[in-house]
Amino acid sequence: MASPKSDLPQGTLDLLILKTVALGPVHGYAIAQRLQQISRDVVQVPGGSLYPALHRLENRKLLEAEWRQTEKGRDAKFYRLTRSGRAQLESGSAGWQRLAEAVGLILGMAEGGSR
Amino acid sequence: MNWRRLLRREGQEASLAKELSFHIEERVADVMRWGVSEEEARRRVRLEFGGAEQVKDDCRDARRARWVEVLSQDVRYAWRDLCRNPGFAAVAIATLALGIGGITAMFSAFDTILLRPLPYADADRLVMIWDDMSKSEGNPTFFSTPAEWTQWRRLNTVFTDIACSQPGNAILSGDGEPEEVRARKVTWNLWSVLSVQPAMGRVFTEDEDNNGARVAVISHGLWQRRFGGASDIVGRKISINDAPYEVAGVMPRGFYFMPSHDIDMWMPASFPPGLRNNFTWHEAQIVARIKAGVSLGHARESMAALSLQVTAKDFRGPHSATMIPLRQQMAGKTETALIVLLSASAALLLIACVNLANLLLSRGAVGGREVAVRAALGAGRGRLIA
Repeated sequence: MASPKSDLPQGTLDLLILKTVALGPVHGYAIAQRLQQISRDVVQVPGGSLYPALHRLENRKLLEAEWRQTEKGRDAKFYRLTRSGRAQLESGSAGWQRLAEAVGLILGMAEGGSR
Repeated sequence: MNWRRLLRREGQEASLAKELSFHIEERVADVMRWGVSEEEARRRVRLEFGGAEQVKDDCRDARRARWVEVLSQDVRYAWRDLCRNPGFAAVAIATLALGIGGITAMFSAFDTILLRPLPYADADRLVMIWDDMSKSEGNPTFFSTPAEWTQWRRLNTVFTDIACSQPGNAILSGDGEPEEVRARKVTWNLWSVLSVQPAMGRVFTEDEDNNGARVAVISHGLWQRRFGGASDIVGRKISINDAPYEVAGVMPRGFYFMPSHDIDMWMPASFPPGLRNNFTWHEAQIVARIKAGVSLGHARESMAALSLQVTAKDFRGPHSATMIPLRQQMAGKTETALIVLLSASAALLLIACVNLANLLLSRGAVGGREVAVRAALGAGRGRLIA
């Protein structure tokens, strides 16, 4: 795995998890896999970050969990977005978009021409 | 807070373990798909995932509700620690107990004397009146005389009524051991001036006072102590100073009045006619209730003027009168003393705490090794201090 890993800015992991879970009930391992696949291996979330984040979100009632069987017939803890989780996701991604655009604008300034 | 969920810790722990092992198993299966042996796959996953126990601990922390668990653990730990060092525990407990006991005792005195309302209705309108004898006796709060009381009562315009009390003594005999109880001879209107009612029976009347009737009002304490709280106490004949008296009533628990808390009996003043004209028999304490709408200052001026008028013909020269609000009178000089004592006992408690902190500190030096071990095992800063 040669692709460079990026450290996620503070608070971003929660947002990514919420987005992933918003697509449908999903267990922790699948969340990690999807994040890695969709981000083309840039985002790799170790279990030591993922599970505390999931439990924190569940404790804040942004997620709710339920034990279900996977397609292969194993028991797994599936997470689902709650109503307040969805609200959090919407406000969080709007904020993130704004910030990303702003950062893009600043970094995209032509150098030396602004005097 | 969901306590039941908290108590189902076992279930939550199992669920957490299961969730993590599911992740690891899935990962191992995926890695093996690249053609790695199971053993190698497990090794890689372990490296990638990190210590499962650490992850679990972080998850529990994330659930926040952990603080209750932490607290109960620490309490249990502290208890074991105290049991291991009974000497230290005894010293610590004794130090704190003394400090706390001291301040509690002081505060209850402070509370009774200064904070709690006096046991009379509308006590802020009650005042004590004294003869201002600063010229002849050098004392601005000298005892008054029954004669002055009679005149003041007749002529004043600022009080609803004025009552008078004189020292009395009472030796109870008859049933049981003879016993001297603290008594006061009071005018019949003391009760209406103070606006208090007896808990049982009645107080004596103006007629009884004027006719020298042998009736007595007793305190709740005396009723309980001497008469065993007998329900038929009202109307009972008792022997006071070898004369038969009738118990007219019992005052409520907690009732007290000047000059002291431990007065147990009130008898009619029944001033003889000679005393009612005697302006030199300085033995009386006077309490008065200011009329509604009359200010303290106005009452004071009016009273001083009245006193000068009443004693105009006194051979010692006329004197004024001093008026002191009852609350101030009853707190008296103890007010400052109490505040000083209260502060002192607060300081004492602080000293006790400092001593204890010192003890803990010196013990902490000994326990340094243990702290190091606990820190190494992952105890947070806050828990080490606690």
